[in-house]
Amino acid sequence: MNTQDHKPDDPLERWADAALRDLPLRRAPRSLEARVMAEIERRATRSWWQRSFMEWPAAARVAFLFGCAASSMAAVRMFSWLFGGVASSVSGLNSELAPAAASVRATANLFASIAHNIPSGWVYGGAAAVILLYAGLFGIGAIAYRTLYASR
Amino acid sequence: MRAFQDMVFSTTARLTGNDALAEDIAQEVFLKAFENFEHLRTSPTAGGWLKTVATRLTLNHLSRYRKRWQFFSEMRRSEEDDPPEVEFAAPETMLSEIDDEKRHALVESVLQGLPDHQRLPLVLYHFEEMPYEEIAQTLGVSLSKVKIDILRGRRALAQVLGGGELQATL
Repeated sequence: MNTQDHKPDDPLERWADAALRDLPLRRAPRSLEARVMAEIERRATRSWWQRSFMEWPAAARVAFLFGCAASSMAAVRMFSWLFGGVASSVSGLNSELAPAAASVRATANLFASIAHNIPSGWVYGGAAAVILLYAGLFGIGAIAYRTLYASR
Repeated sequence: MRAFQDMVFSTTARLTGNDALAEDIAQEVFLKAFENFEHLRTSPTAGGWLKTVATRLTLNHLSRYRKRWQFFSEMRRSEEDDPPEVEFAAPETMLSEIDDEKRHALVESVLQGLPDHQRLPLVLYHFEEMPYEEIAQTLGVSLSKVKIDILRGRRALAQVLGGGELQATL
């Protein structure tokens, strides 16, 4: 019996404790030992680079960290070079991109005018409907869980 | 491993109520033991270490689903979960008339059939000897909920084992 909260005058606790503590250990499935051994074997045959970082050889760990630092610095330098180059070449492309930019601007204007003309009541109503549908779906999920799963 | 596998499996199976999941967690426990083999090989408390790791891994696993579990368990009406009071005129005679093997199988099956929010604190209290406060802290629920869930779990056990299912077995 749990000695921390032992209530000698509670017959239900005494009975439950006796019934539960009387249980012998359950027999583990026969497959457990084989599974554990197979997994240990599988892990042992992995290459060092497939294991966790802490299990890597020290030299490989140091090399990896240096590699990470070097590639980070290279990435920063490459981005600065790339964006610097793009910025200088954009002015040259400006005239070629003008028709595409105009069509994008026209589409954006169209959507903006539609948004301005929708009554705000519709927007709030739509948002409320979405929330209501979401809550309804959640409720149906909860009821399904209670009836189909939790009641088993 | 053979010396401890039943103990580890029993711990995980009683906490999860699911044999397949319990086997997965037991496998993980023994893999951790293998990683600490040098330490455990000579340790006189290897059994206690395994039991603690089994309990912690199971609770970690279950905590991944705890938010959902708490939400849905709180949603149920209290009377749904609240079995009626059980009379204990002679509690020691309950289950005493069937043989041990059948009785143990019956208790295990009823325990496995309890909902998670009742079985988990019940097992932690009676098998792991955790006090109510520690169970509440471990499961992240209130102390009163732990006490109520344990009480309901005991009542559900007593109701089934002392009632219809016991009669059917006899």
